[in-house]
Amino acid sequence: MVISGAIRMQNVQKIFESEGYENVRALDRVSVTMAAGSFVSIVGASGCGKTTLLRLIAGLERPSGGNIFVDDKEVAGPHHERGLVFQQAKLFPWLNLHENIAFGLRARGLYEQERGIVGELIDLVGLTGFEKAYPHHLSGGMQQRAALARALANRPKVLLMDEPLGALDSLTREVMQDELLNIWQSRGTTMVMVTHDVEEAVYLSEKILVMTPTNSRIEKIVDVAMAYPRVRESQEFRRIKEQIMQVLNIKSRFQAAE
Amino acid sequence: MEKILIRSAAAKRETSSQFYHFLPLLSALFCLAVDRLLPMHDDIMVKNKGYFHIFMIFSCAVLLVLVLYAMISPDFAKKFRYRAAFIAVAFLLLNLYNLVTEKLLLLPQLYFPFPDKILNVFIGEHRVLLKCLLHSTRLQFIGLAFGVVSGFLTGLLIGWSKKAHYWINPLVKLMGPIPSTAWIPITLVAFPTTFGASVFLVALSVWFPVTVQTSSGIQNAEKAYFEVASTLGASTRYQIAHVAVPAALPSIFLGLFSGVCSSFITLMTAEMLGVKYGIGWYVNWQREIMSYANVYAGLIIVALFCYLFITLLFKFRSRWLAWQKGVIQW
Ligand SMILES: Nc1ncnc2c1ncn2[C@@H]1O[C@H](COP(=O)(O)OP(=O)(O)O)[C@@H](O)[C@H]1O
Ligand SMILES: [Mg+2]
Repeated sequence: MVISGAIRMQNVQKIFESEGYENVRALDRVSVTMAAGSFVSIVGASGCGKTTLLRLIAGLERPSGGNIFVDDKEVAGPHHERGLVFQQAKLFPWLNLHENIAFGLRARGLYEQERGIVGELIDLVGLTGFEKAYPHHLSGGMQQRAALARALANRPKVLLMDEPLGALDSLTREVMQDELLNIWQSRGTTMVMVTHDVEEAVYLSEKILVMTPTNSRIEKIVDVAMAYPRVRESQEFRRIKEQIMQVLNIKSRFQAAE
Repeated sequence: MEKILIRSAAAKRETSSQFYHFLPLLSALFCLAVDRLLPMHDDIMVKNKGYFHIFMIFSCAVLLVLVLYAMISPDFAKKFRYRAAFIAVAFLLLNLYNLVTEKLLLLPQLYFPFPDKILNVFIGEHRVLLKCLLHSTRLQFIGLAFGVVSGFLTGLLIGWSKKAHYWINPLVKLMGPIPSTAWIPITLVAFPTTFGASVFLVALSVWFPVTVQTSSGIQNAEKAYFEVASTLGASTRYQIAHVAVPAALPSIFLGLFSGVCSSFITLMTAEMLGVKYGIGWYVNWQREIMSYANVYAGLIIVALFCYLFITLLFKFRSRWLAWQKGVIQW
């Protein structure tokens, strides 16, 4: 397995300009590297630029300043090697579940060779039997899992996920967390996940980027060296969680005082 | 005590709904009886050929079969019960019309021919009518095909390309609201045959709404779908065919629907221009020679033709747009 998909961001800035409104500085001088095949989480309150950061790596937004490289090639636009799971699943409503998951393969002309993958992925995300169902017949959690499968069908080097498990109930959520670990460990994909659940971040990631809304920067980078599978009740787990909570809390109290 | 009351109420509802099944048949039998028992008015010079009588006997027979079928199929019974009142009232109105025309002659007979006379036209002139119907259908389909294809392509171009939108959209906006019949003088000069001119007019009346709805459907498609597609490796062309078009399909259908409706009007007008044959032409011609029974026969065909066409369109729609919630009823 050749592991690739290293991400390097240098001094990345993103400023949204819109007529009649003040410019929004969504990201300010973000510099971070994510090793090939690593699992990185981004946590932070809403509005601090997490989605923007993912969209920049995906190539859906152009940085206002700085550079983004994936495997030393500058990101110039969207590419099937950088899959993105949106915060709202955004399944194509006119396609059924199977067709949705096959979309990427079909678009790239690979469906005939690799059609088996689609069934495997439907199995993997636990949606067997719903192949013919249209998105509006699926629950929010099922849609989100389908969106994950759709992104995985392309075997991307980098998988960007915007709160992919947000719509799931806590039980399914823990199952899916283990499933994500499985996928990551078996494929060597670089995983970049946005979450508002600190525990989830600690359970899954090797590196956690903590962001705060006050200055749209990465406030702290926490490396988690614990072995997998991690035990949520362990001392070390709690210590790291506490550490991140503190960064988030201090900042929010700071904001309240302003 | 309370339970018994509820049960008797339910039973009552049951019997009254059984009674509902018979309403259309009763209404039709009443109509038949009135036609049979009352004589034709003395001042009517035309002979009664008895077609209406046969038509009513046939209707009663059909309704009897439906009632019997409703007794064995609960599914059909439910649908039939829903329609029963409507059908009954329809026959009541037909009965009333027969009464005030043929039986009592309360309306001037030149403008209000009695039902038997209208049915007589269908039978006596079925050859001409059929020929006219075929002619209209051909004109309609050819015009519709040109209009839909050109409208779809124009809409796609405007909806997708900013440049095309800049240059072509003002033209569409300017030309669209002009009623297609206003083009008649120009088209008659521009086209070598009146048939060609009529096809153009029908096509034009379909083109505008299809263009507008296709382009707005594409422009209003959620941006996120295109973003998803692009991160999945879809080329621009693939995105147009597999995201833009399906996302715009509900809107395209709306355009198609209003285009078809206005094309019926255009068809009728175009045919009155001097195309030989066609239902519009027939109606106009018969109106000029004051044979209103034939005019009504023609209009009934027009109505049935449009109804059938639009029903078909909606059948297609619900098949193509099965993925959509709350499909419009027709
Ligand atoms: N397309 C856009 N135009 C203008 N402002 C935007 C746009 N996208 C995001 N923003 C702003 O940028 C900031 C960060 O947004 P986002 O990345 O969505 O935050 P998060 O995902 O952490 O909640 C917010 O203040 C948001 O309002
Ligand atoms: Mg977000």
